[in-house]
Amino acid sequence: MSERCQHADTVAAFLLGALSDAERREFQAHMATCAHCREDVASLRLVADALPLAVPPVAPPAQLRDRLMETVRAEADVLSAAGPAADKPQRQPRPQRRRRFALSSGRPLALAGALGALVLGVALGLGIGAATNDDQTKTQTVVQVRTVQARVDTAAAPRGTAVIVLRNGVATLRVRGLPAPPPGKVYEVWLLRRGAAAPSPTDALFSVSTRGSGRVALPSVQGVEAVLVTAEPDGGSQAPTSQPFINAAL
Amino acid sequence: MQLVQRAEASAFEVVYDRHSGAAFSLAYRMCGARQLAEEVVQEAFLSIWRSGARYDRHRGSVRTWILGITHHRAIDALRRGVVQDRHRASDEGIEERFEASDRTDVEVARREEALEVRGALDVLPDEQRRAIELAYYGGFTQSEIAEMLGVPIGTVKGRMRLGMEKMRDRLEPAEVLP
Repeated sequence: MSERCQHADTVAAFLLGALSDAERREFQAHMATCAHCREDVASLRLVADALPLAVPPVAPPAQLRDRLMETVRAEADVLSAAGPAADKPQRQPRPQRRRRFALSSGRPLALAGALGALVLGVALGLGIGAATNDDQTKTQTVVQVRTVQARVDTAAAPRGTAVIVLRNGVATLRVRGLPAPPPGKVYEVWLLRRGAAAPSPTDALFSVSTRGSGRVALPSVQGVEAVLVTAEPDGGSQAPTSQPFINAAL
Repeated sequence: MQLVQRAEASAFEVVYDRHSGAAFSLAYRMCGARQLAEEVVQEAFLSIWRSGARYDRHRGSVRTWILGITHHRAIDALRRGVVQDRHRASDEGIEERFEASDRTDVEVARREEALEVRGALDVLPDEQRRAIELAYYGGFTQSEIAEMLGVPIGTVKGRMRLGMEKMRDRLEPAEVLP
């Protein structure tokens, strides 16, 4: 390269992820105006892409797959349940917009972005939007979803997973891979309220299918710190008679 | 990835099964601890599930895309200071190794590919290889590397660049001469 850019040496650090956040932003801004650096990045990218392949192979644990897929299935159910609703968006008055936004309004908004940017574990907001733009209306349906992964005692349920799905404030507990409750017993959900010394009983009693899965609707979880599950005698108990083996911190 | 874009859990499962091994291996190499590696991979795949539509096939393979996300997540985790042990990148012998047992054709091809990349790294002069490893696998910034090695930052940049150029020349498919 005859005209070497003064930032040329930053290209490698950029591709290796060795820039601080501020340095990276600065370099990205520079790249937008420097064809040399863009070419450089393109030509060295194959090395950065190859580096992850050189590490020793380590198999991921099966529990990781179970936990991840439990959350994914729960969210997929919510997405598919939201389908018909998303097809019938409510009409809302079109907000006042600046002209430059109006210019792009001919293009339908991609549903892509509607899956939303979510943060792991807590406070997930899943926006499912069916958005259309025309000159008169902008319509949108949003479902607020939060999923919380529960801890499952591996001694009680080695392959067990549990997720709380909060859809528009309504909570459901979904479990997979649990053993059936011992004979004469049933699983009972408890709510530990903020500031309370002991968990309160609920009428959410459940068993599991032969494959170990089940789901149960929960009462309001407003002001609840944790959702617990124990095995209790049939009909449920007023105070836990065994240690909780599922614990979801909300 | 089309199916993932339509939010189908079973399609996502296939993607996970195909690429989680490479992602976990990378995360484990970078974090040096199983639990943190699990968190990194879980975060990476959940972000993929939730934003599958952002995959752009013109910008590389699905595997490259997934490993790129995993790398970013691991760097974030390392820089958040989750790992106290800051010599993570230099541990040549990781005590725990969980070799994938199935030796399918794909697995064999992957191993050959790994050997090729490893070979391209190993023939670099030590100082170049070390700068690249500390940056890519260690998640250290160029300033941290300069401080660790006791050399000016410009030297670190130069070593990374020279090393990457040499690796590119080895890894790039040979051009057909006219």
